[in-house]
Amino acid sequence: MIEAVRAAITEEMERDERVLVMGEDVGRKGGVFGATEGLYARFGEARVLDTPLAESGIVGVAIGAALNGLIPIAEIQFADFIHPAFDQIVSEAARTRYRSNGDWSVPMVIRAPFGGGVHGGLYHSQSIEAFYAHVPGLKVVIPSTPADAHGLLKSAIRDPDPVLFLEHKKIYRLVAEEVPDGDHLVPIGPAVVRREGTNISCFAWGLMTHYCLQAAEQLAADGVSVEVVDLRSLAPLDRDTILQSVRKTGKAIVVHEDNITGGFGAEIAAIISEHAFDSLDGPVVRVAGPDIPAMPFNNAQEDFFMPNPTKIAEAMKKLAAY
Amino acid sequence: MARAPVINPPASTLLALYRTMVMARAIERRLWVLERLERMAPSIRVTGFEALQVAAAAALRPGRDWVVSGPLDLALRLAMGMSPLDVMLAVFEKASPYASSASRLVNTPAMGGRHVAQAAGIAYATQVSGRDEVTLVCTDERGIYTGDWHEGLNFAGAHGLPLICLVEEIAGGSRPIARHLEASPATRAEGYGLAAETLDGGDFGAASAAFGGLRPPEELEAQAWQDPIDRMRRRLAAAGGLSDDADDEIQRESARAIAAAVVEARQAPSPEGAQALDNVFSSDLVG
Amino acid sequence: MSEPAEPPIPDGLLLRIYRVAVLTRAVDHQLWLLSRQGRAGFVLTARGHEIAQIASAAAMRRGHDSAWCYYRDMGVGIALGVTPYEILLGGLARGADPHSGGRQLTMHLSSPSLRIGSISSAIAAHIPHAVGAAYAARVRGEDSVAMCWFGDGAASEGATHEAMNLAGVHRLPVVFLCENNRLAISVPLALQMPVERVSDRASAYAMPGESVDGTDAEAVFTATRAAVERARGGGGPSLLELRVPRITPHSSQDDDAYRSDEQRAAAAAADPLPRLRQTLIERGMLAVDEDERMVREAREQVVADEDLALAMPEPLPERARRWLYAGDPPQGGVTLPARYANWTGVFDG
Repeated sequence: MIEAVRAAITEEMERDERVLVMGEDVGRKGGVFGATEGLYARFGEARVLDTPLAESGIVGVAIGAALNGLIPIAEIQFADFIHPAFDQIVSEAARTRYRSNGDWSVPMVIRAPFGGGVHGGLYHSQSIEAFYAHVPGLKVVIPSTPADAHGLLKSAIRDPDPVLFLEHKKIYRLVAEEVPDGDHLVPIGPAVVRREGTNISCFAWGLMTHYCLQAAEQLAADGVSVEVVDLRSLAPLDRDTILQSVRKTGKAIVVHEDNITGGFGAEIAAIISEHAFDSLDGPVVRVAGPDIPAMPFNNAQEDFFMPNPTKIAEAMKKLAAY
Repeated sequence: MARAPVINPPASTLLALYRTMVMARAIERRLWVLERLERMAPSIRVTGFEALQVAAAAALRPGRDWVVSGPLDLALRLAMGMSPLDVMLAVFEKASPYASSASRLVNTPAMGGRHVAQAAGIAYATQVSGRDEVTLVCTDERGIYTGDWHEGLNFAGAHGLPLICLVEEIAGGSRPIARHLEASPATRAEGYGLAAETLDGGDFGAASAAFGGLRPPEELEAQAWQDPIDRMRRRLAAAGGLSDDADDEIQRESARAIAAAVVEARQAPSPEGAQALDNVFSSDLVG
Repeated sequence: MSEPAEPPIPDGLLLRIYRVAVLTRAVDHQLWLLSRQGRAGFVLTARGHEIAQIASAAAMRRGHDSAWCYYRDMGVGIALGVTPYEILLGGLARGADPHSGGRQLTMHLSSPSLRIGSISSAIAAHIPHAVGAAYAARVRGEDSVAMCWFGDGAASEGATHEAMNLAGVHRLPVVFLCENNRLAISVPLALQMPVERVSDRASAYAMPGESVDGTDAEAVFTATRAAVERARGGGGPSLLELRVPRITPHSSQDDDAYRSDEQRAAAAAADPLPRLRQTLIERGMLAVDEDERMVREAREQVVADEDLALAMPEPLPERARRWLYAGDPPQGGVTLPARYANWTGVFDG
C-alpha cells in the first residue's frame, strides 16, 4: 500500500504544482516508511520540505500555505504524535470555512500512519480516528487497500476541505494489488461491501477490514454468511450502506482497534439502533481494543490488545447463535 | 523584502491615515456605548494602537500583502479596506457580505500564538510561488508565550520568510510583558535569527520608519504614553496640513459614517437559524 | 558564564566517567546486536553522546536532584544507578523490566527512587515536566535541581518554548542540556532552526547559555557544575548545548541513507570514548592493559546480564490492564544479579 500512497502523491504533484509535501523526514530520507521516497530529488526542497520536529507548527504552517493558494500534504510521522496539533486541526483547519461564512477554505491533507500490531509500543501504535471523526468540518478517511489508498488520497488532495488521511502501518507492506492508473479517483464518503453475506453485517476500516474478511471466511465453513463492509471514510459516514446491510442481515458487529469506550463503533451502534431497530434480531456487538492506553511493546500484551481474526470469529459465532 | 522607505509620506497620505485613526477611535467609543446601553457584544479597546497600526498598513499594499490579525487591530483592518459597516454588521450579529479573502485579511478570533504558525505558512506559500508579498502577523504579548509562536517564528527564521511579527504590548495594561518575561520580546527574535526592534507605537513617525525598515534601534526614545491621535494631529497641524476646522470636519465625518453604519446594520436581516448548518464543508452534502 | 578560578575536577572523576562510558557502550552494542538478531524490537542508541551524558550527570547530586531524560540517555541512566540488566530487560520487553514492565520501547527509563522521570516517546513532552519539578522543589523548599536532557529536534517543539519561558520567568532551578547532534532523524540543523547554536536561544529567556564540546568530559562537567550550582544557589535556569556526534543511525529501523559516507565517517571520527581514553593514558590515570581489562569485563558483564534477561518470561497478557489507576498492587522491584549488590552507579565512590 505504501507504493500506492507514493504514487498518488507523485501523480498529484505532477498534475498540480500547488501540491506540496511537508513533515518530519519527508525529504532527504523519504519518510520513515518511504511514503515520499524519491520526491525530494524529483520536486526539490521547496515542495518536499523537511520540517522541524514541531507538529503544531507543521499543521499551522500547512493551514497558512493553504490559505495562500497551495495544497499542502502535511505528514505527521506517527498518529500518536498528532496530539500537539489538535488545536490547529480542530480549532483552525476544521473551522476556518465555518467561521468565515464560507469565505476562506483550507484545502489540505494531513497524512498520519496509525495502528498497532507492529511492535510500536505505547507511542507508535495508537488509533486516533474517534477524536477527529467527532469534529465537523474535518473529513476522516482510512483506506484498507492499495487501490483505495491511491484513489482516496487523490480525492483528498483535490478536496476543498481539510482531510485527515489515516494509513494503517501494518498494511503498508501486507497487501499488494494492482492500482488503477492515472486519474482513477475513489470518492470520499461511500463505503464498499468487501464480501456479501446474509446472516451478519460486519463493519470495519483499515487493517480490521482484512481481519474481518478472514473471520468471515472461517464462519462460512460453519455455514454462517457474513457481509463485510469497509467504511473507508468515517467522516462523512455512509449511513445508507450501513443501514441497508443491517436491514438485510438483522445482525451487526463493529470491529476496531481503538479503545472500545467512546470509539467510533459506539456511533455506528447508535445509528443502527436509532434507525434500524426494527430489523435487529440481536445486540449490536463491538470487538475493539480494551480501555488501556494503546498497546504495550511486549508481544504478549500487544496480542492481548489487538483484535485478530480468531477473536472476531468468536464474537461472530456468538452473535450468529443469538 | 526591499520596500520603499516610509519616512515622510505625502501630506495627503498622512491625512488619510489620520482619518482612519479617528474612525477607529470613534468606532471604539460607539461600541462602548452600545455595550453599556444595549448589552451588545463586549467592546474592544483599541485606543493607543492607532498610529502603530496605520503606520504598518501604510507600508503594506492592500490586496497584495497579507495581514493576519485579531480584534485589537481595528485601525489596521480599516486601513486595509474594511468599512465601518462591516464592523457594525458583525457587532449586530447580522450576515455580512464582507469577504476578507479578497483583501487578504485573515482574521483570527482571539490573540495568542496559533495564527503565527499559519502566517508563517502563508509566507512560505509566497516564497514557494515566487511572488512579491509580505505577511504581517499581529499578536499581543500573550502570544509570545505560546508554543505555536515559537514553532511559527522558528520556521519563518529557518527559511528567511517575508514575515513581520508585530507584538502589540499594552502599555500599562493588566499584563505587562515585564511581569511575565525577563527579556524583552525583541530579544527573543535573536533566538530565531530575525531582525527585531522595540518601538513606541504611539509615535507614527517612529512606527512608520520601523516598517519602512530604516530606523536604527538607538533612535528609540523612552516616552511617556501620549495619545497617538493627539500626536498625529499636532504633527499634521505643525506641517500646516490640518486646520482646526478641517479636523472638526474629520471628526464629524467619522461620526456620521458610523451612525449610518449603525442604522444600516440594525436594519440588515438576521441570519436564519438553519443557516448555522452552512459552510461546515464546501458543499452541504454531508450530515 | 566563565567564572574565574573554577574549582578543580575531583580526583578520579574522569576515570569514573570513562568507566561508565565503557559500560554504556557495551550495553548499547549488545542491544544493537539483539535488534539485528530480531530479538529486540526497536533499539535507540547513545553512541557518541555518552561522555556528554555521563559528565553532565556527574555534576548533579544523585538521588537528590531529579533527572528528566529522553530515549538516548543511557549514559545518564547508568551513571545514576540504572543497571545494564534493567536496560536489557526493557530492550527485550520482559515483564520484570522495572522501568515499564516491558510496555515501552527500549531505553524508556523510569525510576522514582533514582528520581528519573518516566521517559515518553513524545519528543519534548518531558521538558515542561522538568520545569514543573523545579517549581515544586521551590514550593517545597528543597534545594534540588531539575536536570533536563533533550536533543536538538526537541528544541523546535512549542512545549520547549513554553517550558523555558516559565523557567526564565520564575528563575527556577533547572539545567537544560541539549545534546545537539545536528540531526532530527534526517532533518539537518539548518532546516530546524535559523541559529547556529541552540544556546543562542537562552537570551530570549534571560538565562545564561553556553555551547560546549560534548566530547570533552572536563568541559561538560565544568560547565554543568557551574549551571547546577547557579540553579541551587537561586540563580535560575541555564541552557547548555552539548555538541555531540551521532555515530549510529537514528534507530535500529533507520538506514541512515540520508547521510553521506563522509558525514558518517566524520561522526565516527568524533567518537568521544577514544578521546577520553587518550587523555587518561597521557595523564597516567589509565594503563593500556587496565583499559583492555575494563572493556573486556564490561562486555562479559553485559553478556551475562543478557543471558539472564533472555531467560525471563514475557509479561502476563492480562497484566496489560494493570496500573491504569491507583489501587493495583505495585510491580515491586527487580531482583538484580548478585554482582549488583552494592551498585550505585559511579559517582558515590
